[in-house]
Amino acid sequence: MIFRVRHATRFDYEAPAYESHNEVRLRPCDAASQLVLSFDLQVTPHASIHEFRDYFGNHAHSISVHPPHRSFAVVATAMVERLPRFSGRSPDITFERYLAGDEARTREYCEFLTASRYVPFSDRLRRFFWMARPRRHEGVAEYTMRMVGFIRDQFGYDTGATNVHSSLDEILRAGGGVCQDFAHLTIGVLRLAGVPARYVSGYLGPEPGAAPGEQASHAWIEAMLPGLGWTGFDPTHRCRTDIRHIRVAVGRDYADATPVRGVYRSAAGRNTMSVELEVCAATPTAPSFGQSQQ
Amino acid sequence: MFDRLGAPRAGYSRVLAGFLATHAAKFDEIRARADQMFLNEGVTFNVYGDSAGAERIFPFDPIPRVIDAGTWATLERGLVQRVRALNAFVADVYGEGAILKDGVVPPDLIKTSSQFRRPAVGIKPPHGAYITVAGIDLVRDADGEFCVLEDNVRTPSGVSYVIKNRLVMTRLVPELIRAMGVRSVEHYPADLLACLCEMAPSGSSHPTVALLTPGPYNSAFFEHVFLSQQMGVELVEGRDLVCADHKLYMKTVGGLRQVDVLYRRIDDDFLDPVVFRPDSMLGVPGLTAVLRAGGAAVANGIGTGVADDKAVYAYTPDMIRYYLGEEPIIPIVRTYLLRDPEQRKIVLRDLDKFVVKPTGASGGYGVVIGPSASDRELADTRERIERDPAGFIAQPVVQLSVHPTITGHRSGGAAQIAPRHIDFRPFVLLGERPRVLAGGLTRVALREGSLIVNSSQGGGSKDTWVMAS
Repeated sequence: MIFRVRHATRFDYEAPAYESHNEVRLRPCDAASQLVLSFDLQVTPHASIHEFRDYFGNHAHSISVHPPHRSFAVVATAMVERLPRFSGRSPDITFERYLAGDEARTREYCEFLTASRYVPFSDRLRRFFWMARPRRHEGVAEYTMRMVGFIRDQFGYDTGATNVHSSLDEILRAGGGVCQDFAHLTIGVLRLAGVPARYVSGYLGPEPGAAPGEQASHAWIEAMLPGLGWTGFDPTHRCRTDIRHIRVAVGRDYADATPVRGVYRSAAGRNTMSVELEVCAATPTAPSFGQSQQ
Repeated sequence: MFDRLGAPRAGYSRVLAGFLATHAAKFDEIRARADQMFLNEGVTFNVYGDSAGAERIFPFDPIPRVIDAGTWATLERGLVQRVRALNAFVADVYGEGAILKDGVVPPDLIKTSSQFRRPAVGIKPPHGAYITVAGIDLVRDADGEFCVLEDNVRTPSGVSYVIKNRLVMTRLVPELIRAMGVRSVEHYPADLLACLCEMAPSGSSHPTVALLTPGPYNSAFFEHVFLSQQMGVELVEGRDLVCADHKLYMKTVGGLRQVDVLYRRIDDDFLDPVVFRPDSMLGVPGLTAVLRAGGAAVANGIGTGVADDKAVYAYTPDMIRYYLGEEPIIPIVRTYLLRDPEQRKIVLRDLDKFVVKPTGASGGYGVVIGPSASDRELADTRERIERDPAGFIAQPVVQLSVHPTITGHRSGGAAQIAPRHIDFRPFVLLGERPRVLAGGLTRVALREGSLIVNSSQGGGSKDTWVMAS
C-alpha cells in the first residue's frame, strides 16, 4: 500500500524572529516493512539545511534561518510504500524464564529499560505498575498486548488533559491524554516489567474508504519481544501496528523523536504554530496486500 | 619531598641546599611579597556556593615542589599514553563502539552515563581530536609512586596558575631558578594555540580561534581572560557568537567574522540550547549542527566527559591495552564500582574506610571521605548509594604525600613550616602530536590533615619545578 504524506508546520511571529535554529525529524525511515519512494523538504524563507542520521538512526535535518523573518514554514512530502508485516508467530516465553536470563538483554537494551526524560520512574508510575504487573507464568508478548489494552481502558482520549511536554505523572493524575501520553505510559510499564520499549513517532494512514478529514501525527511504541525483535503496538488503538502505521523516528521517548524543535531570537511577542497533515492512499489498495484491521 | 628514610628525593637535595642557603630567613617576606603580587596581577578564582562572584586569590605557598628529570621522563610517557587512549575511547564511543561490542567496557555503563552525549554521534572532529586539553590528577601513594587519581578531559582548568606561580617565583628567587635548570612553562599558551589551529576545518590557512567563556561569574574566569590574552585570540561569550549557513561567526564592530576553532570553557549541557538544555543562555544555538556539518571545530569535543566519568576510570587500564596494546605506565587507584552488588557489599561494610565519589561530578563536589566523615554524613552517604548505586564509586583512602608548606608564624615572627597534603595536575595537549607541559599545578590542602586540595574547597598551590637534568 502506498501512502502520500504531506506534513506542513508553520510558525508565525508577532515580532520578527531571527537566528532560528531547528532540528526536524520528518523523513519516514527505511525499514523492512516500509519503503520511502520519495521525500522532499521545503523550507521558507530561504534556509541552510544539513541532513544527518542521528544516534538512533533517524533521518534528521538541521535548518537555520539567520535574517529576521515573520514566518517560518517546513513542508515535508513523502511517498511511502508500506508492506504487510511478516505475521510469523514465535512461541511466547513466560516472565519467569524471561527474567531469569536477562543480564545480556539488560546490557544491550539498557537505554530502553531505564527511565528517560518523559518516562521517569516516579512513585505514581510504580504504583500504577504494581496494579498491572505481569504474572509469573504470563507470556511476555501476551503481557505486552494485555498492557496495550489495559492502559487504554484506564485512560480516556482527552486532548485537553495534557500537552506536548506533559510527563507521565500528569496523565496518571489527569486520567486521560493523547497518543503520546499512552505511548509513554505503556513504555514506562513495560520497562518496569523488564521489557525493552521505545517510542515511535509517525503517521496513521486513513482506513480504506474513509472520508478525508483532519489528521494529526501519531505516536506508538515498540517492544523488544523474544524471538520477534522490535514489535510495534499502538496503545491508542489497543492493537498491534499494521499496514497503516508509517514510521518516522524512534527513540527513548518523545524527546528523541520530536518532529520539529528549535530555538530563535526575537524582540518580544508571541508565536503561533499551525500544523497541516494529509495522509492518503496514493494508489488503490491491491487485493494481494490484504489488510489487517483490529 | 623526602623519602621514607627522611632523605631528600632525587632533585631535591640541590634545591633544598640552594633554597635554605639563600632564603631560610626570608620565608615570611617571600610569602608576603607573593600574596601582594597575586593580588596585583588579579590572579583570582570564584567559589560556587559563596555569594555570587566573590573573588579570592588562590593561596600560594612559595616552597616549590621539585620533580627530577628521570621521574618526569616516565611521567611524560605515561601521560601521553593515557590521554591517547582516552581520546581513542571517546572517538570509539561516538563512532563504531568497538570497545563496547567487544565487552571490554560494559555498554550500559556508557549509555546510562550522565556524560554520554547522543548528539555527538556524527560529529567528526579534525584529525580525530576530541581531547585537545587534558589535566590528569596524580598523587604519590604510600610507596611514593605516582598514580592517577582522576582524569579531567572536559574543560580542565588550572594552567594559568602554573604560569602565574612561575612568574611570581621568578621574581622572588630569580638566581635559584636559573641555577637549578628548571624547565620553563611559559610557552603553554603558544602550544595550545598551535593545537587549536591544527584543528581548523581544511581550507583555513590562517584560522580564527576564539575562547568561549560562560562569563565573569565562572570560577575560572581569570584563566579564560589570561589564556585569551596570552594566545592573542578573542574572548567571547555565547551572545557574541552566531551560527549561520552552518558556519560559526563572531560579532565584531566590522561585522560578522568567521570562527574556525572555538576553545570552549563551557560545559556540554550549556553549549547549544537546540540539543542540550533549552534554557541555557550561555551557549551558541546551532553550534552542534555547525560542527556536524564541518563548518567549525571545538576543543574539547562534545561528550568527552564519558572518558573522565569516575566509574569509567576503573576501565582505563583496559582501554590502554585495548587501543594501544601497551601496559599502563602510570597505575590507577583501586576503584570499586558500586553498581556491582559484590563490590557494593565490600564498601558498605566498611564505609568509613573509603572515599566515595559521585560518578558524573568534578571539582571535588560531593566527595565523602570516610575516615573524616561524621556518623550522620556516613548514614546519609549510605542512603544515597543504596538509592542510586550506579551514581557512585569508592576508593580506598589514598594517603596523599605531604610537602613542607608555610602554615603560619611562630611567636618570634618567623614562618612556621609543616607538612601538608599535595596532589599534582600536569597538562597534556593533544594536537597532531602530543605536547606535555613540563610542570603542572601542585595543589596543597592548607588545613592540617585535610586531603581535599581543590581550590573550590580551600586548597592552595605551589610552583612545580621539573628539572632539565
